[in-house]
Amino acid sequence: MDSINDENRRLIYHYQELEQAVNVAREQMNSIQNNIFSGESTINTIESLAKSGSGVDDSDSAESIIPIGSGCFVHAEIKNVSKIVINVGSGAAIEKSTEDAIEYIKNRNNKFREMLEDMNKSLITITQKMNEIEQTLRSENS
Amino acid sequence: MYNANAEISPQIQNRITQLQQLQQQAQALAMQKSQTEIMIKEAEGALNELDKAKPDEVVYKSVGEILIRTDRDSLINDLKERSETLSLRLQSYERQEERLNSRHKELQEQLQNMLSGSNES
Repeated sequence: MDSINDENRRLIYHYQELEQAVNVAREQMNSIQNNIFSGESTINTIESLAKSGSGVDDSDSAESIIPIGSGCFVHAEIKNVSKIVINVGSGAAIEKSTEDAIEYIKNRNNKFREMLEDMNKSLITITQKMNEIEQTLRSENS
Repeated sequence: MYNANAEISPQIQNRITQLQQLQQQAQALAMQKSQTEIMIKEAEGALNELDKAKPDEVVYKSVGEILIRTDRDSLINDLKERSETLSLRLQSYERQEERLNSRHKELQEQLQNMLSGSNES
């Protein structure tokens, strides 16, 4: 009944390992992609805040409303919109100008894109390997 | 290949259990090691950013849920200390990993010998 030889069993096991690696890599790539989207959204927010700060009275502050839940908001004033505090990791945060903050986020996003490219290359190699195993197993069965 | 239907002696069963426990410990250790490596990288990245900042740059450090203002140099010192502590922790994990690996190898060999011995008899 058990017609699978040791070599095929090894190949199937290896295929399953590769499949798991692909799933993990895809999850990580999704998470990186979300970080990129989040960075782009933050850049838009910083730019909009900077524009609203240099608006009517040039006061470097912006009028805003803050959500308090259930679709309700309270009025608030954001001070120093030309200064952005960035979390740089390990509990450290640095105050930067809007331009420097945008530059920082753009650099971080570029690093994320490079990571995505590298991971994509690895993913292609893994899926090629999986195809080879599939072919070998199919030809053995036919 | 190990035959699941064959009767296993208590000694072999005991070695298999030990081996499984060791594998679990190794997995947990690998996770802690990888988390520590990530934290070291994060601290290095933060130090790199602080190095680029001017001495009078406004910086904050997180204390619980809030950020409090501090000066750049003391934040750099904090991060250097943190990085050193993490590196020591990493070294300790690496030593534990070596011990686990050699114990794993030892147990594997013992099990192999026991299995081949029981097959011969």
